[in-house]
Formats: sequence, structure tokens, C-alpha cells
Amino acid sequence: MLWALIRKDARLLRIYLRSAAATTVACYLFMGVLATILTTYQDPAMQAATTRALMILAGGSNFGFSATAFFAALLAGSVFTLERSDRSAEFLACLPPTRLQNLASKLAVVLGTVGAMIVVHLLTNLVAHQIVPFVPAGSFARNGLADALGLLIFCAVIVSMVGGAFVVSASLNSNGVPVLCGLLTPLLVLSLISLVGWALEVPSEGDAFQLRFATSSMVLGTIFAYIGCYWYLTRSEP
Amino acid sequence: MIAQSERAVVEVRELTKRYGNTLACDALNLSVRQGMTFGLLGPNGAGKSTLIRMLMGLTPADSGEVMLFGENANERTPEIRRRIGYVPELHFIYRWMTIQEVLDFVSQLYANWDSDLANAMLSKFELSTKKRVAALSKGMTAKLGLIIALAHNPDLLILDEPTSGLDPIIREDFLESVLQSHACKGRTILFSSHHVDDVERVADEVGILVNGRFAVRGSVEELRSRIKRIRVVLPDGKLPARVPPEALFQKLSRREWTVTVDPFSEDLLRELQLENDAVSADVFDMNLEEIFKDVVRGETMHREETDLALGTD
Repeated sequence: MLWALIRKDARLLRIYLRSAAATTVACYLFMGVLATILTTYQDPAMQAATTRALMILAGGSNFGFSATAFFAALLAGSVFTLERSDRSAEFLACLPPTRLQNLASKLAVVLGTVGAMIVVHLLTNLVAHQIVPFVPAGSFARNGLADALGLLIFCAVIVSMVGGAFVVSASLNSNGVPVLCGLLTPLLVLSLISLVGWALEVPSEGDAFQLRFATSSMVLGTIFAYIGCYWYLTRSEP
Repeated sequence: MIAQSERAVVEVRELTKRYGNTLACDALNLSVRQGMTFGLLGPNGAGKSTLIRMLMGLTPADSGEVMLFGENANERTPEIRRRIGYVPELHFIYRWMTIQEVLDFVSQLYANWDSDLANAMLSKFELSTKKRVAALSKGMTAKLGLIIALAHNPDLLILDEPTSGLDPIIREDFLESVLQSHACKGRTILFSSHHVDDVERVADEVGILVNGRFAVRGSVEELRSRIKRIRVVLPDGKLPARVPPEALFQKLSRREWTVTVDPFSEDLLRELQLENDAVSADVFDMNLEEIFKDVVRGETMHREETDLALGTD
């Protein structure tokens, strides 16, 4: 039964899923074009294949992480609301699956897609790190690489976006506001920790601040996601 | 006539629902026994759909209790839902799916899905499985809804104004299938409609719902034997002495006073004759449609009088 629900939810979000797949590829294609343009009239070290490959992989994965964050908010904000906006949630509510099974299916589609996108960009980032020693223009190319803290921040932002979109979409009938809230959640977290830092006279810069931001985003995103799931499970209407 | 058991498949106790100041269901009680076809009649806005949506768990009740198959239906477990087939007035089947995709999806959710029955109904209704739901007419969507509701062989079939807006031929096909399903499987059916003839054809027992409560209830034969129209011709210049408490609806036109009563009795007829010095008094049998109209008009008049007395709209 769960597999049937997952297939249905994947088809429900098919336009967004296709867009996500196309965007993932487009990030690297775009970086390919950009790397070619940027290095064509440069010195031979910049024109080396490894330099270009590093630029494509590092830049592509950076763009890819940003796109993943956007699609995370889009999918999480739409997975409940699309069925409510055309009232097909009422049809589903009269069928045997429980609310928990429906939730499991929706989470599987959203988190599966976001997880797959993260894995792709993490892998390309990892490959980029591996080829750095073989790049003649290493110092230039290394600037574009995300370090461990950067990757942690990317992932935390994605978690906060998913949580923010989930918590709002659990009670609404259209996806516009939930997606917007998801996109704005990291800014909310940033504002909050900056405010707290200012009140406690803690500096709002450096690695410690970034780590605080990542941790807060993760925690708040998880709490929001939990509340959103709870609302979805307990609301009396479909 | 299909054998009915004393076991209630649907049991509703004191079910109440308000939308703002409007009372959609007013402490409703209802019991539908196994094997029975219960026809829920009522004008638009009487509370039929609200009652059915509460039964299906689509609308929360303000108070009261719903029992399905003897179990409290608040949880509506998959086991209970598997035993129910539901055809709403408005269908919200996934519009982006084709008929085949809808049937494939739904069939995976029911262990006892009968593909042969679904295919037979598809052929009978001449539905092309390649068509998208969005491209179906209202009648075709209703037929697809009926296939979805029947192909898993439910014990309880709930139909919420299923023939509303359908042309007479599709309506006929639809009712035929419902009757056939009832006759073959002996399942319990709760059928809501404002088409009196549909209900009269299908139902063992009828309840007329007006302003969120049952105005009258009983089998079609019982209602017809119980509810009568009395026409009293009054002497010149005289008004009716009193309205009997049995009156459902009354109308005065010159000297002719028509009163619909529930229950009718010979004693009541004699009383009305004597009290009013009647020139003549005749009793008329009524069909279900006439009963329905008089009950609704009477309840509406009663409500208007009450509102006037209370100074509300």
C-alpha cells in the first residue's frame, strides 16, 4: 500500500520533481559554460582540463545546493497543499490508508528527493576535493570549494526550509505561503541568533557564529517539521 | 426484499454540527440496519451532505457519536474504511490521472478488489480507461466514482446525491447498478437525494431531513399509510377552529382548508369535522413526493413563525 501511495505522491509532484532533476543537471551545464568562458583567454594553467573540471564540480555543487534548498521548500510546501487545493485530499481521505501512512509516503517523496539531490552535490563536491592536488591553478580553484562547515550550513538551511514549509503547509490549502515561509525560515533563524548574540554581546561573525547558525537551523527546522507532521496527523479535516 | 439483520451498521447518536449561526445537524439520531437501504431525503441545505460527510469523517462533528459496524468511528481504521464504498455528489478523484491509473491506484489499497467487476462495469458504462479524469463529463465521473465504490465489495455503500445533475439515461444506468449491487450482495445502503422518485425506487426506509433534523421517518408504505391529506370545506366566513398537533402542513384557500397530518386517524377526521362544522371532509392518500413537499413546506413555515416570534432572521 505504501508503495502505491509513494508512486501517487511522486506523480502528484511530478512537475517539481522533473524540474528538480533538470535543475540539477543545469547547474553543472551552466558551470561548464561559465568555466569555458572564464578560462578561454586565461593562462594555460587556467585552461587545463582539471582546472575546468574543478570549477564545474565545485561551482555546480554550490549552485546545486542552493537549488536543493529552493526545491526542498517547494516540495515540502506543496506535498500537503496540492491535494487540498484541488480537494483530491477528500478522495484520499475516504480510501483505506491512514493519515500516518499518507504522511510516511509524503515524507518519503520529499526527503527522498531532497536527500538524492544533496547526495549528488555532496559527491561532486567530494570529487572536486579529490582533484584539487592535480589542478595547476589550485589556489584560484580552491576558492569555490565548500568546506565541511559550509556543507553543514547548506544542509542546516535545507532542514530549516523543509521544516518551515511543512509547519505552514500542514494547515493551509495552497502552496504559495508555505513555500515562501520555507524560503524565509533561514532568514528568521539568522535574525533570531543575531538578536540573541547582540543581547548577550556575543560576536555575530566567525566560525562559532556560523556553527551556531547551522545548529539553530537544524534544531528549529526539525521542531517545525515535527509540529507540521503532528498537525497533519491530528487535524480533523483532510 | 433483501433480508435485514437487527444489527445496526450505521448508528448516529445526538450528532450536531453548526456552521456559524446555522444549525446544519440538530442532535440527529439514526440507525441503519444491516441489509437495509435507507433513503435520506431533504431539500438543498437540509443537512444531508453534512451528515454524510460526518459519517465519512470529512467534517468534524461538534458533538454526538457515530458508530459504524458497531465500532466508534472516530478513529476510522483502515478496516472500517475498507468496508465502506462512498459516492459523493462532487467527485474529487485525481484529475491528472487516467481512469486506468485511478483504478490501478485504488485497487492496490483494497485487498478484496474485484478487477472482473471493475472491468465489467467499465464495459457497461462504456468508459475508456485511457481518458484522463479531467476530461470526463459529470456523468462519466459519477460512473467512475460508482466503480471505485463498488469494486471492492463494500458492506456499506454511502451515496451522497449521486444522481444530482445527471441526465435521465445516466441516472437510470446508475440506479440500475446500485439496485443490482443491493440485490446481489445484500449490502447496506445509505442513499441521500432530493430526487424523491430515486429514493422511492431504491429505499426500504426513508427519512425526510429538514433544517438539520428528521421531520418524518419510516418505510415508504408506512409513511403513505400514516400521512394523509384532509380537505375540510368550512362554512361561509368561518376560519379553522384550531390546528391539530398532528398537522405537518396546512393551507387555507377560501373555504377550503387542506391539512396534512401525521398520523392520520378516523378520530382526528371526526374531530376536525365537528370542531369546524365542516360542510364536508375528505381524506386523500399521498405519494412520497407529495409527502416530501408538504413536510418541507410545513417545516419551513414553522421555522419562519419561530424566527418571527424570536425576532431573528
